[in-house]
Amino acid sequence: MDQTAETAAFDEFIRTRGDALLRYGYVLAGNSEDAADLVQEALARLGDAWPRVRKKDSPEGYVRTIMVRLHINAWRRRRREDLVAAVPESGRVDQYGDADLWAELQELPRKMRAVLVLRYYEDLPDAEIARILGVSRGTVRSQAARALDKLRIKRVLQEAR
Amino acid sequence: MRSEEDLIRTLRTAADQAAQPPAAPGSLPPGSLRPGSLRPGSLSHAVAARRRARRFRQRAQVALATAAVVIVAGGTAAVLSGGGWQAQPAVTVDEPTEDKPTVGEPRLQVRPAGEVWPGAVVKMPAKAADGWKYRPVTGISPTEVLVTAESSFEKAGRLEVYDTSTGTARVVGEMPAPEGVKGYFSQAVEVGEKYYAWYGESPNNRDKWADFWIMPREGGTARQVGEVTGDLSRVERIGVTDDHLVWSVRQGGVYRIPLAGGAPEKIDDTDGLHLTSWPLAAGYAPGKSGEKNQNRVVNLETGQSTAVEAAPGTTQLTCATDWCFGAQRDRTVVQRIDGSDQEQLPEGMEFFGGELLGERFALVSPSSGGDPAGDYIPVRMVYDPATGQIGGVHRRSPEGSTSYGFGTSSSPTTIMYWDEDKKGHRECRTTSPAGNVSCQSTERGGGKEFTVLNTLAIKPAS
Repeated sequence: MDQTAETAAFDEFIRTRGDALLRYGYVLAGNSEDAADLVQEALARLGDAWPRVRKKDSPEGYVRTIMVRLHINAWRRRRREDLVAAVPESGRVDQYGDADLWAELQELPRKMRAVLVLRYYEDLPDAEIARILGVSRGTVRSQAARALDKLRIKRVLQEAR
Repeated sequence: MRSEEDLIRTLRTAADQAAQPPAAPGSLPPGSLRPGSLRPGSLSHAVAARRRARRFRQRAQVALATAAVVIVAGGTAAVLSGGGWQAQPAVTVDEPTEDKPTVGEPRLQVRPAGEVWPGAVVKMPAKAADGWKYRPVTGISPTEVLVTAESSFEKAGRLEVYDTSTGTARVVGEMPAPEGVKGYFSQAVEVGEKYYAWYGESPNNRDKWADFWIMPREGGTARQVGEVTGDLSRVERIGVTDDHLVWSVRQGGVYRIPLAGGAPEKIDDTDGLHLTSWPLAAGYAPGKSGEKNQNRVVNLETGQSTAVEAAPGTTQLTCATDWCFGAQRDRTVVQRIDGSDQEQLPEGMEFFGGELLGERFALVSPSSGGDPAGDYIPVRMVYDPATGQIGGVHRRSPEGSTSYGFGTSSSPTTIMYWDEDKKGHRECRTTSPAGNVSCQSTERGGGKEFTVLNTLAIKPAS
């Protein structure tokens, strides 16, 4: 594939998957600016590695892994103001019923929240979460358990994992 | 006690409600195959800009490696974050603001746009009377702003005109969704002589499909002009005449469909052309993605083609009727479309890319530096090539983030807007026994009023 076609394929990926990635970024980061920032940074890195990733791996899996790793590594927006192209919405959490739980999720350490997002939003098995985060399966389990305890969530589904 | 289902539902609901910048593929013509033409704000554009910055940063890091090591080892990442973003390591721990040294004077003294062009910066409500949120589209006169009103995020439902001289809004008409199309979003609105026009897509599925709509400018009922599929549906921009709706596609080429209904047809000799604003279309010279220069501007009504020549070292050369702007590394270059009056703008004005605001003004970024707590530092600057005047857009917040928006019209918009009540907020906490401090920046407040810069209200150069 020549470079133009690669570029086209990458742009098509952004176009078709950008929205889903922003949603994922939002549950990870808890706010739309950091979400947009995470998505953009992860896509930039994906773009640099595109021809290789496209051949060997799933671009979507790759970019989602980068996003969660960036996020828990306390990576921070560098030029935030350059990257937010609109006046973002505010007060969104008030618009739905689980505002308390959503707010408490924001209080969790990033890694704990990431484990919950991967398990309950991405619906990934613990072994896969362990691989993505570069930790043991036991760590994933204990982090998830502690997070659920903090959020006062009764564990049922987890038993099936 | 909560259940895991509660957690799953909360996460999904939050994702559904995720506020996205208009960069998200939900609202803007994604225009992504040809990043040289991307409008500011699109996700592809942001990613392309970030990749350029990354490359630059990687080079800068090599040059600054020695200093960076010393600084990071000393635990004062603050020097880096203040001293130059390009030197920051990939993983950064932000420091509390009070420790942050300021970096001398900003290189360029700029005044706010409202002082430079009194009357061009006005306030308007951020919401319609019924609570629907406004999204500014473009100025249609010096005192009128076309807006879409949204029932939910990015779901444009109504076209309105807000008159900034009287402070009143007028409903033009409803923007309906076609029946049976799931996930439909109406996209960029175009202002024609007789009609407003827009197109719609279902951007979150893989269908290659788009439809086109018109509404009389004096108001009335919207009418679907036609639907397209396949390559013809990769709409990047539209135009509307009295009898046709015109559009270009991301792979290049301009098509039209009669307003009265009928089959779409390709306009002759438009291979590789991309509409800028009907009847003008542009062609691009080969180049790196995101850096291509326009090399010809064609008037599709008269067939007249004007070759545009970029000076050596120029990238992203982008033209409107009279002027072109481009980047020369971190500088901005301006020229007339015939190549005359070529000039590099002063240091500290980095070309932001995208189209010319109001087909005349360049959007540039101020260089880092200065202390936003004391100095006026704009988030962006608007440069008028006709007069050489520079106006600052919004102001950089000393704390946290600052955001602003562009009008979402199909042809280059004439407006930028921001929310002055929205304040950056920065929260820091200790995250490790070693005393590392991590800070979060967010925005709070606002949502009532936009400040709008309408370049149509800037006097034409005499």
